Amino acid sequence: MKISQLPLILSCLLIVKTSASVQNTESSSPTNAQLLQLIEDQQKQIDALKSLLTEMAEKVQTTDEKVEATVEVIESNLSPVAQSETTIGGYGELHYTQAQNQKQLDFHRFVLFIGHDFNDSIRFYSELEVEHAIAGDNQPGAIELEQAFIEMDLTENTRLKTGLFLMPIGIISETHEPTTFYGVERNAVEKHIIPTTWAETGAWFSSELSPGLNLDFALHSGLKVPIDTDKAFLPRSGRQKGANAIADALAYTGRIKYTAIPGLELAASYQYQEDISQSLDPAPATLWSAHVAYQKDTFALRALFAQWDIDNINATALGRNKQQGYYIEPSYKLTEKWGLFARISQWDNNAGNNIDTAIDQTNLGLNFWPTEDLVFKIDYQKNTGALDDHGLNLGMGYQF
Amino acid sequence: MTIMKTAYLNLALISLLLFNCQGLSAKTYLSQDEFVYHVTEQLNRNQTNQPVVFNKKALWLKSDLQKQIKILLGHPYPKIRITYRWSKIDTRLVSIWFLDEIGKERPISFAIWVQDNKVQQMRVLAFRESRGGEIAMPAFEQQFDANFLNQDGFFDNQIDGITGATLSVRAMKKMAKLAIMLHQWQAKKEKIIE
Repeated sequence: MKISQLPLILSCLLIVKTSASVQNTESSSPTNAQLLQLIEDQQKQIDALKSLLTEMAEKVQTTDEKVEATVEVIESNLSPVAQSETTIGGYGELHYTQAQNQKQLDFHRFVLFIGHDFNDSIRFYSELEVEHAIAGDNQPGAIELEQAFIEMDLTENTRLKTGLFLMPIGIISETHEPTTFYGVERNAVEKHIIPTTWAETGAWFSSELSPGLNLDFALHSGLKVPIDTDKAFLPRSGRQKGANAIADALAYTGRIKYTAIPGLELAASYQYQEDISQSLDPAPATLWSAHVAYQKDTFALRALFAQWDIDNINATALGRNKQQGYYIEPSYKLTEKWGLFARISQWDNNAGNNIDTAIDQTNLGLNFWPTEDLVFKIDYQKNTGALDDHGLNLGMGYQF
Repeated sequence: MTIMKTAYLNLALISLLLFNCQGLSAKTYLSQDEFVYHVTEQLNRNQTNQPVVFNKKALWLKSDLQKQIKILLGHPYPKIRITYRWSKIDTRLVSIWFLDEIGKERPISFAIWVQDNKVQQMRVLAFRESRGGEIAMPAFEQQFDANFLNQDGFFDNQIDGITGATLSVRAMKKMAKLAIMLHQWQAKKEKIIE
């Protein structure tokens, strides 16, 4: 029964009671004094009921306030806004590779990330990775700190990261969870030319110049590539991963990124390293890359180009003074859960020589996402040029 | 020379760290009241002869509703009730929902105006994630305008994503779908034929 109906019901009861009294006294015709008394009695009852009603309304109001307060307390613990200051997540990927002379199963990456908000404007983010399942002496894998940095909001549109962070170069450097890209293995250009996953230690300043236009500048440790052996001057061999990293020569990275049109990302990065070898034989180096990532309805396209120029006589002798690569990857979503892709890549870590040492790679494959955070992949891969083989890759990846 | 470079690096790092950190919280684009005001203005300008007034109401998330929400989001909505605004134009329900969802780590706050089983307008009120703030750009938000779910549960007009902001985009799509679902739930409860 609603409170607002109470006075009406009470009035009805009073009328009924009054009618009954009147009927009882009809036979003896009440006097004016009796009627006056009756009215006075009824008025007292009305006053008493009014008082009761006011009291009840106050109680209802108090109860409402108590319920409201209780709900607010409970919700403050449930609400995502009031989530724990420490968050945990992760991703991982399992690969099966069937090359011409080799079949291999590898739990390639198992990554856990932990974040913590010190307050609303300062936060910590980290990723710890177990690569190839087992780490240790004579084991194929490694335990690596992939990222660990403090991020501070300086103003509404500017941020500063300090610590070990991923380079703002290429498409998959920062967003590398397996559910976000096609193909079992990451693309070869962002492996052999841009040595993703590539983390350096230093400071990174980001600014949103206007909505969808971002500028990044980072001052950080550089690579330390070997200057002899067969891996001389290869960027992937020079990653120091923040492990007692030699910082005799610094590196500087800048990026401009445009994302103001839905579905489109255009970005260009430039890096200068004072000495990529950090040895007695200085080798200043520059890396630049540009990419486009575009998605329209069910169609998507990714394309990237990257190039190193290393100023060193020994690098020149090996043809590694210039190293470059590109890839183009169109894809098509058959449904929300199924996607097809093709990728054509070419890279050359000896592009400075006069012979054709480029490797061409073609991938064709399919991704299946049973849920958004889980993916199964299959792709066929064919290498030609300086490397001639083909194989089949199967993979499973997840993130949470 | 090397010592000088190291000193220069240290100096640069310290200078940047000492930069005044202003204790910012979320990047706030719009308040709930501002959104309601904008919606009211648009409705009064275009759709009605009578001035539209939005009332506040709470939708209690009982277990049967939470079950449906869990199917949609993959998790229950972490509240006991959702406070929303509603009004009626002729016999049609107009509702405005204020919903939060985590993208990768931190909640993003959204406002969604639903009418005729469509998202009429959706805006990011506050963004707290490190990356993916592009979802608050008008060009992206406008993809949700006048968008509705087809029979398969997908948006009739495809939402083009943002590279590197997959999780923020996903959170926004989920909240748009949830708002439509809650609108339909309330319309059914109040026996309003949409």
